[in-house]
Amino acid sequence: VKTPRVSAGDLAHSALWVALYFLLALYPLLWLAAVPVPRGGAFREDLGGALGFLALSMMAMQFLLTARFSWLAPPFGTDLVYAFHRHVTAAMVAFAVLHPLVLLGWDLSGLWSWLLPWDPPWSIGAGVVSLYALLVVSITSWWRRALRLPYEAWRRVHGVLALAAVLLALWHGLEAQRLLAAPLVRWLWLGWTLAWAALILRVRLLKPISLVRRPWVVKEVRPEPGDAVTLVLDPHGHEGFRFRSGQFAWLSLGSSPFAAAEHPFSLAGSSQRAPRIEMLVKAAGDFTRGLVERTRPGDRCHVDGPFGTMSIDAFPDADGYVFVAGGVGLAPCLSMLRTLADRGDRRPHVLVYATVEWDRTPHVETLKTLQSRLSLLVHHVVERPPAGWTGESGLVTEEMLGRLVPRDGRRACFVCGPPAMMDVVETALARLGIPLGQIHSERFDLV
Amino acid sequence: VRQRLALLAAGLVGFFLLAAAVLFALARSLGGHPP
Repeated sequence: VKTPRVSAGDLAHSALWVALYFLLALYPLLWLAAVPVPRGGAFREDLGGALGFLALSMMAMQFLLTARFSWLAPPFGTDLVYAFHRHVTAAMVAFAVLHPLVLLGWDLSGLWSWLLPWDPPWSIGAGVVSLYALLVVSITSWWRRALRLPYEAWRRVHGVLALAAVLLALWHGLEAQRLLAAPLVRWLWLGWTLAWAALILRVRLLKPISLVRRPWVVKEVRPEPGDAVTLVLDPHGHEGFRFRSGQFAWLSLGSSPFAAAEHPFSLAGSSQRAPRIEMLVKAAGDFTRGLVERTRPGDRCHVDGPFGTMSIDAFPDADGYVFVAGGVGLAPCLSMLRTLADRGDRRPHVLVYATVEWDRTPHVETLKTLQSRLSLLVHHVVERPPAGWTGESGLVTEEMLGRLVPRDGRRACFVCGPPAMMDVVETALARLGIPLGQIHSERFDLV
Repeated sequence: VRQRLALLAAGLVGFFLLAAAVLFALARSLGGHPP
């Protein structure tokens, strides 16, 4: 087994992003430390204060991580930013909980009065309520599925409580009078606070307003086999956007992006046919169930995109492309294949397409048409094949990929499907000797 | 593999930020100008 390789450039780029996050989170401590203080400060109070400032910085940075600024798009895929957003919460919550405990010096006698902040000073109460909100946000996000919270309800609770937590914490931060005693530091802190408030305003108010001003209209709602639906959307009164095949966008159906929860979906159409976009949606989640009944041609919707780094256009010099898709994970692969066909591409490509049942497999005919336009080998893998099935069956395995995936030349591999399948396929491809730098995937099970 | 990278990055960030907080408090209690 070859050792998986990651390109030095990607590693350096990613390290730069982590370092940038680290520095931004640390920023308040850097200027607090730069201000001269009398010797013999109280270690415990300074540590407690520092933990509070770090937790606050990290809370505000959570908004930056999911702000979806295209100019801030990292080189390693939006899904990893969301994964980081989720994982880093553990450290943030730990700092936020330790902050009062360290300040109280483990003297728990006053804990009850502290847990129920009914009395002034209100800024202390704001901090406590912020901590409660932070805990609720974290618990409902880590265990959303176990708690059986519908995605839409969770998104709303998450949005409101996260905003409340950070605003209350910003107010609470002004209480740190010992650390913010120097006028210069106080002004720096105020500027820092206002910068984060502006960011939050931009994300939560200005961005949705800009989406309202650029509506999209549903042109077609096409039921597909396997409870899937194809939505065809056109920009309404604006030029839409250009995208790279393989990218995704956030869709909110309904009259206002303020009211409706958004969901990320891959763009399934050819990038050569922009601004028209197509999305392949599985009617499985609470949002997508009943989509066919609710959505009609002519309906307005809002699309925020494009996002994502997974694209054939990032590897134009490859000798061919390998796609491994599961279920509606076909969508980004379909976009890339359709784009290649529209460009008259002549390189050899391979698609391994796993579904549960043959008669519930979307886009069988589309793939046949694409095969007539491209040098494309399609391997259908059916988990529960019908009688007389001679193709691949069962789940995708390393042995199967060893047989189906060509390893000659420089081929870029794209993987998209259910999380369990992606785990298997990513590991298998790496074990088959395909360098990690040539395996590309993006995940949409964000919570 | 990719998902583990996000976990690793978050862990590293958490660890170094905690270390920075301890160093900050140490620097303020041990350093500083004479009172």
